[in-house]
Amino acid sequence: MRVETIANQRAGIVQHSNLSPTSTEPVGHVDFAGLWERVDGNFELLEDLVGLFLDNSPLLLTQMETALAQGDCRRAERAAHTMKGSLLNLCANAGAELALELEMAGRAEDRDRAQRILTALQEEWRRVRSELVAMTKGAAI
Amino acid sequence: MKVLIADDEPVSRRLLASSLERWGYEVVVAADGLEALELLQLPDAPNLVVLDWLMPGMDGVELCREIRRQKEEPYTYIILLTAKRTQADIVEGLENGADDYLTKPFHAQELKVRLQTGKRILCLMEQLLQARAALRELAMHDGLTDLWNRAAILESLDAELDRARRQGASLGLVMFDLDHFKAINDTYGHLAGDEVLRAAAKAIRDTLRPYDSVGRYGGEEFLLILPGCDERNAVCHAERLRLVLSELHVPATRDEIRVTASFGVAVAGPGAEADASGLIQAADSALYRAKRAGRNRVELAHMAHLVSA
Repeated sequence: MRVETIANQRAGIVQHSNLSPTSTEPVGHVDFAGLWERVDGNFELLEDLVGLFLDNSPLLLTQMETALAQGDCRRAERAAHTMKGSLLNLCANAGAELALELEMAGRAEDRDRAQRILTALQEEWRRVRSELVAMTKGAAI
Repeated sequence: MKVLIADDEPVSRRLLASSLERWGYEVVVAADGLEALELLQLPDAPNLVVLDWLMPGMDGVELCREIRRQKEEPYTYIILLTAKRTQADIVEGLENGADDYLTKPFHAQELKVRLQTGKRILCLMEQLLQARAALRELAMHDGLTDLWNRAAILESLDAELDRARRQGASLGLVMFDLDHFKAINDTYGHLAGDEVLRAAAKAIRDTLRPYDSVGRYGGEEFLLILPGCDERNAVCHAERLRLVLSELHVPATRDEIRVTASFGVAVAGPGAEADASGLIQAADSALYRAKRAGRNRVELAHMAHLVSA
């Protein structure tokens, strides 16, 4: 199966996503092997999950952006919490860590820090999205 | 078995639903706490629930509290599923009524076995409820006739009197007794006497309206409660019952046993200050008069002291 092949190939290179700045290893943004295991090898389910993520996560990013622009850190915190859940379920661990940091910054009402993390999260989200799209389309990244 | 899952995060919700369906559960899905609460009010709602903690509207912990406040039986087994993972969070979740706690992202096998634990507890609970209902049924019924027993019919009389008072309605009470029952026992034996009681009970039951109650008050003595009946109606009911019983043929070894019964009728009119013992006493006196007057007849109690204030 093509996805399994991709997943196995990826798992061989990257066990877990990490954001370590010192790492010179190629960094994957989604743990494919973990995700493949999570969906129990069900490609249709994987497509569903990715579809839901692609539909909903842009709204969450917009919510975070708007909330921070309005100084509403708690609303940003909530959206970050939901985003963290999606990313964790999709084994996008680095993205989930960023969402967690944003959640905590929001809870601490630290708007500047939250804004900086949001920028990083938006970049990470773009990478996660393209990896997920590639995975479900069976294309190499 | 049905499981309700409540999670506002769509990826998690879909993943959870898919896993549960794969394990053979029937999944009911809610996107937030309020929707979950609504679904739990429906008849045949799931008793096994997996809740996300942070949800808009009503969060998982509030929902736990609400479920515990609203639903004592049947028991709802609640698993909180959340990214919150500190000891304080776990304590808070369990203190507010959750039965179990699992952190996100869930590990499939762990969730599977925890659901099995919930299912096992719910099955035990169901067995206990069934056993309790059966015991309650036994405790309230007369073993021989399957009518209400003395305690149950007296309890029912208190309740019906309360209801009649609240609704300003009248209530009829009929006390009746099989005539010469001792002679039946002496002639045909106690087993035949039991058969007569069973046959009489069945005949009595067949004459009842859905909201009437009848119970075995003593050996061959019965109490019949007739909600909403004035004196004329109550006497009519008693008269019909007298006829039904007098037409009863109970097969015995040598021949057929025939029975008759005597009836005392007492009625608490609308607004009457009657209590159960006063009404029973009045019906009993009327029954005594029916016996004295030759049996197989209906007598109405004089209720001057129970006329409305």
